[in-house]
Amino acid sequence: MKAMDERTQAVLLLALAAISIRLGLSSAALAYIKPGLQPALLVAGIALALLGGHGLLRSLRSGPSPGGDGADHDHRHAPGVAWLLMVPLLALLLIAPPALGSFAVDRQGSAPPASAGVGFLELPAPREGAVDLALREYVSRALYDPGRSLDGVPVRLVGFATPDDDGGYRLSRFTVNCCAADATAFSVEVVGDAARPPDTWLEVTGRWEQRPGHEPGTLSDEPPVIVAEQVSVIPAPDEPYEY
Amino acid sequence: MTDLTDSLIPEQRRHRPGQFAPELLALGLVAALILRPYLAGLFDDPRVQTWSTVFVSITIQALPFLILGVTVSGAVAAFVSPAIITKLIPGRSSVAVPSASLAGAVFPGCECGSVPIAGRLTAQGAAPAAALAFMLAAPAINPVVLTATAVAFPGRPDMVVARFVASFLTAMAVGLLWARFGKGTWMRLPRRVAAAGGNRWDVFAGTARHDFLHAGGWLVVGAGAAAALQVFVPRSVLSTVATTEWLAVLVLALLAVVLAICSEADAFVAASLTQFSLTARLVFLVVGPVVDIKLIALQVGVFGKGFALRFAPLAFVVAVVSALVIGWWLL
Repeated sequence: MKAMDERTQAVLLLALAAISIRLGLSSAALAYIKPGLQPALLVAGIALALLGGHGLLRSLRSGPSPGGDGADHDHRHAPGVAWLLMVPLLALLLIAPPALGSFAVDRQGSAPPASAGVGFLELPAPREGAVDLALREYVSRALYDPGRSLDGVPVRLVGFATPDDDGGYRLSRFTVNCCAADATAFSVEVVGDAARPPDTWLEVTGRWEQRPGHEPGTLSDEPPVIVAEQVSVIPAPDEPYEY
Repeated sequence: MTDLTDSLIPEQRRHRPGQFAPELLALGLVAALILRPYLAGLFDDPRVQTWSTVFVSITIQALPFLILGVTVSGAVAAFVSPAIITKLIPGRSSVAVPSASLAGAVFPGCECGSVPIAGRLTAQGAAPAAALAFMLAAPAINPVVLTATAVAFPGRPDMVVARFVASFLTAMAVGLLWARFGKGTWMRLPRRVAAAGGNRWDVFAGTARHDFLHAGGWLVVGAGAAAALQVFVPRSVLSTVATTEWLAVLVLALLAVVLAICSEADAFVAASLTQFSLTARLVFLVVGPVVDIKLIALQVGVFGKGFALRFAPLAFVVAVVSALVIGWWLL
């Protein structure tokens, strides 16, 4: 790899700055990071733009071919490894990677993540006949609430379809703490609906049903169940993950 | 390597062929934008897409922390003279290492940012052992990370205490061991910036830019590797080993290395690994900010390969031992 001269560095920094600022402002970033990190990304983009702009001005002032003495020369060239910064840039421009979907859910296996069986608050008030619940909330209540707060309550869940081998599907959604690299999948097995293509976003209204052989409050190898009463296809939400 | 070979090539020959590199680069980016609709079909394999999502998100998440780090390292280079550093950080490592580890506790940085800072501190004349202790302590025990740990483990304040103590001990032990046994020749120090003749702001921006491109390139290497491991090794494989304690400790320690999760997020991942014992998870939390593939790549970039090959195993072993001892004592 060739070392990078000052003008090339400046162009690369400006390109990175442009994409950071864009991601700092647009909801496209939410496929990768949580909303709270966006302002930091915006500031980083502005700092990159200043660094790149400064480099460009400096190289224009001093001409493209520095005769430079040793000390100056050191900082006019960046090591060849800097070219690798092109990889995320091109990945964003060419692939525009989508939010994690059913493929990533399957990578994590079907066993639900365990959580503490304590600290469940009162369910929120229903809206239009059903309680809106985050998928993670549903999973932990369904599996680990010894008080069975979901018993008989109509709930509304939003997620995407992860097809099962037997023709049914799970409704899945990722919970993200910081960025998509630490995403944990939460899934609910949907009963009473036809097959759905993978990664279709759905709104499912239904009721919890206890999985035979599982007692709420004990660990489970299998996702909880919802018996669907109404399923509608919805556009992908701006925030693909739960936080 | 590149730096060495490049500096052997005469100045004139190096510049001619690359003269239009910036224009070609800009043109290439525009072409990528225009061609995207036609190329999209090439990348619709779910493995490629999932890999790129994870890869891009690690890179993007680390970016602000890296910028913060290189801003500080630029400021150190431009505004802090070597004389001040040698005065602030005492030469005797028995004093310097503990104080540098404690200084790490107040710097709210991520590990990606603290590597270039440590490199710059060393280049400006700080004792290497002290700079390394700072590098290990800053991402592990700063207030942001400890708060995140407290949030991730509700009702277990002992976890926060254990993490602080184990990470602090790791930073000190590695620093002192390095002071005792380390050789200066293992480290290829970042080049010193000559402030003389140049405007201080030029030095600041030049150093920040150089360190960013350098560390950023290596960050990309680490993020790519971590994303590949996440996509190609299913997480369910892990739960099967969680039942044997020594195996669980080993697996979580290695997992911390390969997952390369930012120290501000690793507590949440550890909290979700409920199949594992608290001590095994403490090992995960202590090893992660100290050694992971992204950090090894960054350290190769900043300090050289000879350094990283010795430092990473040392830090790994010390972190595991320290976490086991503290976990056995406190948890």
